[in-house]
Amino acid sequence: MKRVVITGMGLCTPLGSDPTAVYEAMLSGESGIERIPSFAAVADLAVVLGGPVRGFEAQRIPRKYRRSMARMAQYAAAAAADAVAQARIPETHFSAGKVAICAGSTTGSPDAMEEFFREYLSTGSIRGVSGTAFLRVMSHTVPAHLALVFGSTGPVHTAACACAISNQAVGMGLDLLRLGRAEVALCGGADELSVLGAATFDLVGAAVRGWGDKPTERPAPFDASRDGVVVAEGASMLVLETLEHAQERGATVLAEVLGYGESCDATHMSSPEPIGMRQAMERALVDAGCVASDIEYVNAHATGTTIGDAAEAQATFEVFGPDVPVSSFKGHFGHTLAACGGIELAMSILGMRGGLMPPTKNLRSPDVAGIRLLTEPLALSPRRFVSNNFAFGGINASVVIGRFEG
Amino acid sequence: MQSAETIIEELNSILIKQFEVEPGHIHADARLRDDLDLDSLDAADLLIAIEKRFRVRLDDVEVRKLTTVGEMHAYVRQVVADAATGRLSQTAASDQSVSGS
Repeated sequence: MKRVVITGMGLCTPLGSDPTAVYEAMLSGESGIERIPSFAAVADLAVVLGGPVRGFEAQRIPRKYRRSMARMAQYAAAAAADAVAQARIPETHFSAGKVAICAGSTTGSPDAMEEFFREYLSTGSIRGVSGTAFLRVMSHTVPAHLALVFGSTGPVHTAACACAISNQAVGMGLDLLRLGRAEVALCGGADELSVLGAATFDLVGAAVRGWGDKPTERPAPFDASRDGVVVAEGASMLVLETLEHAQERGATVLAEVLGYGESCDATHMSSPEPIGMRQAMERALVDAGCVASDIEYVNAHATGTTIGDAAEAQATFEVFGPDVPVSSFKGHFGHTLAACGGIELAMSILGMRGGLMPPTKNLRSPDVAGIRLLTEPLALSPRRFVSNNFAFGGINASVVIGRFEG
Repeated sequence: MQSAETIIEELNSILIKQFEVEPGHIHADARLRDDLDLDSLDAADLLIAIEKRFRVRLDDVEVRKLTTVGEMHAYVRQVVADAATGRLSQTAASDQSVSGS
């Protein structure tokens, strides 16, 4: 089976876009969370915090593309451009159909949906609705626009399982590359901060409410005081390619994608099941040809919800036992939804390469039993690690990454 | 009623601000598609922008026939003038109705 490696990483996050600078900001304990005035203005929405992307320069994308791109697609395009530049993928690869695009967003653009329905429902007519509205609403708006921007004629696949999207996209890319259906895969996810996202978690009782005076202290994954998710926005794009292809063109390999596993709880739409999480991790290990004792670090999905974090801790303990270091990065970024998996992979890879794994921000009093949670940076360069993402619908997706050792 | 110059200025402003057309490229003979790079998606949004700005209803079939900036200026001026005339007529009719009651 073909080996697959990562040669480029591009980000657009509440803590910035340069991966190294973002990683350093994490180690410094910085937070991307702030009070969002537009949330505070919504009646009965108790959520006032969010993780916005700051200072994004949309104008860097030519209008010809940008006119039908929602913010989520713009973020993805910017992240993808950085990832492709780092990997030094030739432009001709895109036009020759050698690149697969595997990406997605939780929904199409909530902003575009609001725009469409505001016009339509207020007038009873579609007159006045932009001709580009659907192009921003459609479920494949992110990958389709990436293909447009890069002139990519290869496969375009949409990952669509909400918070698990980035990891799913990596799994899709891994499969396509192993099967020889592409030589390069651009994999990731993107989402934009919206009332829809904030309200969704609020309505099911899974969002941080209030804390407008201390925004950087939430969310608090695995902490005894944890009280929910803080929604955020951003994009993450990773360049995957076969090892053979990377070596042929002399690319710098950042890490190896060893395996992918996924499962569905099939028990409840919003309440997670440790069994399903465990199955995803175990399947990823099998795919990677590893056993649990080979894993030296686990990057947790842990969003800061009472039930979800506890379920994940239990599942992680059942697979890896008490000694493997575990941290979640949601305390720094909030929950960037479709983007989170790629951001977390990128930061974990930088930690692996730099020998210092970031801890969980806002974790002071762990109240989940059994696992070894990081509250401070840990000097560690894991040979292999697992990164988890879970989504509404009981979707679980785990990736195994390895240090590239030739 | 808006002057012809005002209408043209506002139409050009839409092209510049919303469609990011270089001001120097806007002249009467400039072709909307070939010179200003406005395609069918842009045409749909241009129609909406004009309708909202001038509070008029454009004829989709007539809009599709427009090929140059000058033709667009002339068409919109005509529609705006017709709409103003129509509003005046309605006002006059309404006034007569009131005075006759």
